[in-house]
Amino acid sequence: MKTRIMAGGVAGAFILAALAVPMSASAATNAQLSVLHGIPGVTVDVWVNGKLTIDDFKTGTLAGPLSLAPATYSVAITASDATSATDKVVIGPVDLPLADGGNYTAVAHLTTDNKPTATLFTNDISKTAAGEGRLTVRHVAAAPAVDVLAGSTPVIEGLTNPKEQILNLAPATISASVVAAGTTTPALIGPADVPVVEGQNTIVYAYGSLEGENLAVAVQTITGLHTPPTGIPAGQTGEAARAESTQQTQSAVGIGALGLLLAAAAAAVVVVARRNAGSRA
Amino acid sequence: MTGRARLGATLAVCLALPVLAGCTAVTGTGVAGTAAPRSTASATPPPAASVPRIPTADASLTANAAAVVVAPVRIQLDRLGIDMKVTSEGLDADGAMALPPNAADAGWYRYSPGVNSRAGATVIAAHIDSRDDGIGPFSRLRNATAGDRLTLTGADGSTVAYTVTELRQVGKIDAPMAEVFDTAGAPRLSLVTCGGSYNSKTGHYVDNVIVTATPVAAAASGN
Repeated sequence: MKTRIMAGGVAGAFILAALAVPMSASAATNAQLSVLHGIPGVTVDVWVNGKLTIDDFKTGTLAGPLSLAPATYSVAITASDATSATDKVVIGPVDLPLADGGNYTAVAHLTTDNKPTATLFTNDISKTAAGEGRLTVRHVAAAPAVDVLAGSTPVIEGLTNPKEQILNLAPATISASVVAAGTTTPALIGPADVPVVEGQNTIVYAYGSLEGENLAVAVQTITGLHTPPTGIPAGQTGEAARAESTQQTQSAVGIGALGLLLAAAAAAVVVVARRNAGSRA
Repeated sequence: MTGRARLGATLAVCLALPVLAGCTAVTGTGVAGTAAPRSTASATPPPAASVPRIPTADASLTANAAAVVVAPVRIQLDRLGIDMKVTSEGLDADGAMALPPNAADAGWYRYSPGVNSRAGATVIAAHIDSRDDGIGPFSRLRNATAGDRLTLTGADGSTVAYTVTELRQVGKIDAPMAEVFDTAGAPRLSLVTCGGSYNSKTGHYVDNVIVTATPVAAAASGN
């Protein structure tokens, strides 16, 4: 029954698609949208296309991902006691163009000079190489250019708000610090343990305000980007194959000998039967 | 097969929805009700895409620490006389899974789930034979049958019992590596070695022998 309804749905979709929309539209994949709140000290509401979508959204929290048909969405961020998308507006409304199958994070954050803004980032969801993970670092803080250190080695240099840098790395937990560009101390953020996991994009956001002394880190993870090894070559000499074929030959010989015995026995039976028959005649 | 059919059906509903709703954006998460298409005929086209509310989560580093992975260190399958040390292995120079040089030892793909994982395939493989020590215990994997019990011991001393569910011998060209190394789905174990004939020119076996096993506890709770 279910199958029939679904089949009807498919046929209906195709017919209507043919009538109403270009064929390409029927192949559309939803976009994934996450929203990060990176403005310290303020709880907000998020309105998408005029509708309240995230209520009482707190600093340092991540919402989503929301699965949305590809389109341009209007997003407004207001005070948490606002009564509509146009009441007590903190940011926006801004237009977020979401493409077919895209993966995005919209971040509410501060500009370099401490003003609330929103930035739409496109997340890298391409497959990671076998045995690798991905680290994305985004500067969304009211702070000048920074370097990111792994231990004491700079791995990202001169990153500015609102830019990102992407590294593909062997999986490990990295002791990461954020410092002013061109320096190694003092750490503005960290050191903090950042996990780089195989097949995962770990997205790290530096947010808050240097002047406000509330710089912090937020993390988003996107899993399922894994690539398997190319194979498992698990034999070197062929010894096991040779041992197996020897064994089979031996069994074949064994079966042959048994067969001869059975044939001989059968012949004997026939002979006996004939003798019996002969004696009866 | 049924899973795939269901997925197809879900896609079909997804396809139908935007069309019926006048080509405005409709979310995939709103698919649940098959009633959705019915409500659309008389509806005036909505002015904009509809958006369901979304859950939020703490984005702090502490709340997003990587899960602790417990490496398996020993595998035992008594019926086949298998009792092997398990070492942690990555990739070789060709991008294939690396293995311990001795056929007497097994390797765990260190980027696969560990002991007690909640999802995906824990991968353990060993040479069927090696230059170092001849024929290894995994040569007997091809005699595994559904129902065979085996045990993995983790680096923390924990043990997990598994039941063999499937034995396959597949040509290496067709070997389903994405499936063997699947990081999603129910927790399970992929045991792999070589099999079939040996090509002395390439120095490789033609096939992979793949045994799948599922945790005993999970199988019991499934009933």
